[in-house]
Amino acid sequence: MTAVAVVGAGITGLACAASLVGESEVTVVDRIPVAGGVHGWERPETERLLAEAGGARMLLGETAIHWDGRELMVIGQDGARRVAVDALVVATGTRPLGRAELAIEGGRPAGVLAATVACHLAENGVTCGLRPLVYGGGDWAARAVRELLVAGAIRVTVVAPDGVHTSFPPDGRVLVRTGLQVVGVTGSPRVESVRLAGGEEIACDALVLGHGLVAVRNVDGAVWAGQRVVFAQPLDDPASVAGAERVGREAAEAVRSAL
Amino acid sequence: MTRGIYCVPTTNQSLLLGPTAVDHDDRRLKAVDAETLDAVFAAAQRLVPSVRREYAIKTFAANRPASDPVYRVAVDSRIENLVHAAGIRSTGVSSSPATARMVRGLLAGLGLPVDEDRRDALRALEPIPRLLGHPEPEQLFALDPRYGQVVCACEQVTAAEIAAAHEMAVPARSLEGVRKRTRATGGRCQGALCMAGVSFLHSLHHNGPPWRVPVSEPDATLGVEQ
Repeated sequence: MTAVAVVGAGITGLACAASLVGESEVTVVDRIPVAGGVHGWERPETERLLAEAGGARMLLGETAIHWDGRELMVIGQDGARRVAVDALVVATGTRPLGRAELAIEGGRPAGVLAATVACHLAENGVTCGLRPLVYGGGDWAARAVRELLVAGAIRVTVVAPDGVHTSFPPDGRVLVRTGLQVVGVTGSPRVESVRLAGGEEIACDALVLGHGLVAVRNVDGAVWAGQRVVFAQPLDDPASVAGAERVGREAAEAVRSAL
Repeated sequence: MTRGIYCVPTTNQSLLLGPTAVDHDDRRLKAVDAETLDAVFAAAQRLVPSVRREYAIKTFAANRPASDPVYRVAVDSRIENLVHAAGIRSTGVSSSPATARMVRGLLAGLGLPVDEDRRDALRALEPIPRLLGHPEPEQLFALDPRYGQVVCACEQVTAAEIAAAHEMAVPARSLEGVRKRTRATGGRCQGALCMAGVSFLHSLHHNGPPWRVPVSEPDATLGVEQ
């Protein structure tokens, strides 16, 4: 029997594991101690896929750090494990583009945050800004707007360069502007304004970056396409549970043909 | 003033492109601009044609020490217990043993007991053992079980390393301080997945609210007061 490791216990990773279990020995690893990924552990689909992948070994709350083509190094509370497998599936999800990737010029003031970070902080009661500007028109931007408002923002300006492609909270405190591009940031020690292409300045006390999506690749040795590595990282925005499951099943098919 | 653009492989397995050098008087001015970045990438691509702009993980400007006069290795003219070893441009590392001898002479000249054998003196900061690239990670768990908790996945930085950065002889006082000691938040995702976690660890160590965690300078806080 062949052995396969899947990094990421979101919908995609679970769907891949569910497809392969029974024909391969499957190990699923996730940094977070519960399954479900960005779609959450309470989703019925998470429960269904967890049940379907029941024969897989689940290493939740553990981090896959290194792949050498034969062995996956996994770090967890019980120490280091070396999991020998024939193929690795990277289903570690996506993140919004960062500041260098967006080519935003200017200094390095405080208050410029990835939407992932802003959401995580706001969910824990941290006020990221009273008048934040959220950059992006998709899932991460919309989620950041909701969380920032709960965590004390008075007014939120959304700048969506490609338009809005998910629903934003209908709220008098939220102003959405589309078709504009952020090119610069000014302020010290905290961000005071952002500059748009064309020269317009918008005042703000935080810039939250939620535009675009890029695959998260943080298993050393499995960053680039290589031998025995299959990437399963859907980039659709808004993300769908059905799309994530489909990408997971396709990854399982790719593993079958590779082995 | 610079010798030109380099492509320097770093110990973090990344490539450092640059630098440029521009003289100015404001130490807080650390802005990058599109025109200069374009020029840096164009020059770097002449050296390494496969360098791709879309893989840039960070662009930054920083300050190099500059002083007038240069090579200021002297007792301060106004403050009697201050010795400068500053203004050394480009040759800092290579001249450091000789500079240290000069400083020792200056301290002796102030009547300080430089010949005293002080075995308790801290000669070097304790290195923080890293999980990244460690051949036998099992050994680290015996040092500190928090090596089992990877906080920054890109750079494989654990809670043990972040705790050590906060507890060492020269402790981190900001997120930048943690990054410089451990590499946490310094990887491919630039903290998109771990910066909140690192911030919470920082606020626990310094016993303050997370919004007030300094990103870099003390008044550059992560969040704002509600």
